[in-house]
Amino acid sequence: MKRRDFISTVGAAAAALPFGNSALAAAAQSSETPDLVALYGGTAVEMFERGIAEIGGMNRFVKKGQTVVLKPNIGWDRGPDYGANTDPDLVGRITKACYDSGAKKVFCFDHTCGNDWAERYKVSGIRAAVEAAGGEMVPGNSIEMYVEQNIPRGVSLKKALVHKLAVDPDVFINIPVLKHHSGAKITCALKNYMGCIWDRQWWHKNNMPQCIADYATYQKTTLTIVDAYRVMLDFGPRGKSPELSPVSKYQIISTDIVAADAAAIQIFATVASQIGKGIPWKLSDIKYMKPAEDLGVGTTDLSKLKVKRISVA
Amino acid sequence: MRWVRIVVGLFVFFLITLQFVDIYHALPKTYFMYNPTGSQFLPSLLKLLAGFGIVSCWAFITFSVLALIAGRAYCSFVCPFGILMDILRRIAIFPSTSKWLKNSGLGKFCRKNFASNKYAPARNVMRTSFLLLAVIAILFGYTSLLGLIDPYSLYGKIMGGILHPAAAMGADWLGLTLSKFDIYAIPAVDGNPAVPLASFGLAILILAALWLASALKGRLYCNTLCPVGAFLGFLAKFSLLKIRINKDACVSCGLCERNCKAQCIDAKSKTLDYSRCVDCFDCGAGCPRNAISFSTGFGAKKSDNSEKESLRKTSAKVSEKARIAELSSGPGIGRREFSASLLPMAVLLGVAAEKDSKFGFRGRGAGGPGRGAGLGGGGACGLGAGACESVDETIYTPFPSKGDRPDKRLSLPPGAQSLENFAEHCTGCQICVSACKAQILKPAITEYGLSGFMQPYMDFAEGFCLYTCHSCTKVCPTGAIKFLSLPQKRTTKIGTAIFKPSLCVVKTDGTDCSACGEHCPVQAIEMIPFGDRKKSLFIPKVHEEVCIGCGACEYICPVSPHKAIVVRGLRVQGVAEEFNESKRFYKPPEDNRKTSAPVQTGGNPFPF
Repeated sequence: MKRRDFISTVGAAAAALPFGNSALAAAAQSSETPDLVALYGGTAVEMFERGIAEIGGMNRFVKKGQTVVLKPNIGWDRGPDYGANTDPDLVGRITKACYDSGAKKVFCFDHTCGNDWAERYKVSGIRAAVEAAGGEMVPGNSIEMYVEQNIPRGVSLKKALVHKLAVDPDVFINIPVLKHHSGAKITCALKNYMGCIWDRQWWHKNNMPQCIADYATYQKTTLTIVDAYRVMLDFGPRGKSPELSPVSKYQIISTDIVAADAAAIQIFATVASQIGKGIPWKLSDIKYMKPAEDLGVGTTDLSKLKVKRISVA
Repeated sequence: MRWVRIVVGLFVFFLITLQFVDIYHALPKTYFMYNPTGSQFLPSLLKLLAGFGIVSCWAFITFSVLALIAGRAYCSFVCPFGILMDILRRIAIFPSTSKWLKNSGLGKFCRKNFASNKYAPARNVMRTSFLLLAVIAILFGYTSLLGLIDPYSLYGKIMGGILHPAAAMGADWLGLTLSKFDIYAIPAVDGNPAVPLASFGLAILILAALWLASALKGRLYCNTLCPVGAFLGFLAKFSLLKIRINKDACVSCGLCERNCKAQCIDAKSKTLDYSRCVDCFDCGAGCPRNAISFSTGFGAKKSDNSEKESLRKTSAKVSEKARIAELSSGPGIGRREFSASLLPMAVLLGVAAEKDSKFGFRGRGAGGPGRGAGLGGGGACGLGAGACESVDETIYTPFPSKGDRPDKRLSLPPGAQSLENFAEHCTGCQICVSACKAQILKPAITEYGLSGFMQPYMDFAEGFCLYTCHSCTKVCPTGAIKFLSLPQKRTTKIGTAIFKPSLCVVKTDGTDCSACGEHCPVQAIEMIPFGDRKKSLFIPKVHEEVCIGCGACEYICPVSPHKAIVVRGLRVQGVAEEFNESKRFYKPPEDNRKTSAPVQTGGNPFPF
């Protein structure tokens, strides 16, 4: 395939969202590139370096001159050891990888869960890490930053005020952290998109699991990188103490956001069982998974995908 | 001397004003350790009365003593309101001196109306009335009333009502405009900086009145309304160092009189009213004959005596009012003045007390000097008032406003200790409102009743008290909010979250939410199973003794118009307990832990 053809295919795939994920994968993969890489045993940065190479390298997703938007979880005023926010080193490393692949600009944002967004950007360590790698942190605390978008395939959520960076990005990389959640039981990739929109309360009021699935039909996702280096097992999503977020050394890199969540839920159950804290929820307990699959966002059946399991040691 | 005054004054003004424009909360810790607002006269007295010890009162003592040595230097060097007046006056007379505007209509107008002052007799009835009003307000704990005449508090009302919101909104606007071009160098501020319209209006009113007064009559406020000016003026009469006019050198040209913003120099009789002189040294700097000096007057004993004599003579002649000035500076206050001053005060106090008793608020404070009367019987945590509509008014604060849920109560800022302490020491200077990182401290209009006008309360409509912030406790100059270290503040219980299941979406819609639970910083909200187990729904339940009342749950609750969870503010703030496992309402049964979820087996770390 010629380079130009490839780019146009990617463009078409992006236009054809939400089928984009599978179309993109089909177009970009020769034969053996996996859809999902699961990693275990290293630091978040080590696992990312190994995993991204396995899935075809960052330049499979980021082309020269493109603008990349990173969406980590920076929801809470907690340090990295709480596992409440995405690992800052990982976000920094991803920023660097994007630039190495020729990205023109890397932006990073989250609509934080509180009115001290600057503090949260700082305390999480993500601001420092992203800026050190040359990326730019963009605030998400003002309604002016949000643009109203239609969600044509939404069941409960038909319209949403979406952060301008999340609207039609060149490359959008979702970097959630896997953790317990008092409302959704487990929060990971799909739920992380609640930080892309302005009015979360509306979701809470109008069948939140369905809204989470609805939004995923809209949001273009190039890649999902689940940070499960630390897994918060209880008192999520904010966390009570670092002891409840044991270092578990997992990571998932996937082109299918639903599959990433499905794998993450099983990792959560594994860690919870091993540590003996928290509840090892089943896939069926997590209420936004089935609607997401029904809406065709992705698949929860990992056997349908090419999955690569790697122990980094 | 004049230049020293200008430099020192502007420096102090700059230092204090810095706090009102610190929209990014960037001031270092050292700044707050030597907080320049500690230099404020009446606030420091209030701090002493709030039980902070004699050191906190240094400003009151120092500047009182200084008044006996060098007159009302405080008014020109330290008082930000006075310095603001000087600045406003400068702006008002600027067109008359500016090269370009001098001959324009504006320049002529300004020259004619603003540029020169004339000697005016002292308004002693007014001065002493307001001083008395201040004393009574302090004694009876009506400090919000004091806040409407105290210079620092008025200055704060202007800065907190206009400058801070303007600075924050300006930065927001600029930042957003630049962000349209992908420039994110100017970040938007946290929270909503807007203040209630009434508060903004009041600030505009004060500023407009001040500007007009200072343009027309210089330090008019300082010599009519200001209780600090009246008090220091009384001391300044006996001060050692004074502005003295050398009568032999003076030719009564009137230049000093025109320059005197306190309107206290009578050039014709070559005398000066020391009780009104604010030590600005404008007169000496402008005197073409160098006849004015700031001295002890020991060297010229004779002329000084004659000066005093002549002062007595002329003031007796000048007007009836000036005669009263002499009288009232004596040991007692004239009977007529006293009753005249008492009348409006009685009316005001009566109105306030009437309103307050209606709000069930400080009923005893008005009956006598009820300072520190700890109503509410201490503790008061976790009494679990289950019945929503019957809220014990001795434990909780007043009801905020008609639109709110009936069982919600106002929350005081952390460190306020008790409603009584807070209400009796807060002058409503708005500095904590400007300092609040989440910008949820808002001045009350009628929320506390009339007597709580402009005293701040926690407004959880657009934010909540941040777990990582204790800004308001750092800035309060009057002791209404006690300093709390961050760990102390994190366990300070300012209220209790009251959950009403009948409003919660988990019950009304049968869908998951837990917005309150996820925002709670202290695990005071536990999600317990609700309804049909198959639906796997969880509903909040509050650990009242753990709750600190930060309002995160109330802010984030998606239910409208009445939130399913609201904070009921405590009348006496307490200490919250820490959550531990033994407190759990619901312990998941063991069979729940052993699920059929696939888990990792053998050497393979992956469960899938």
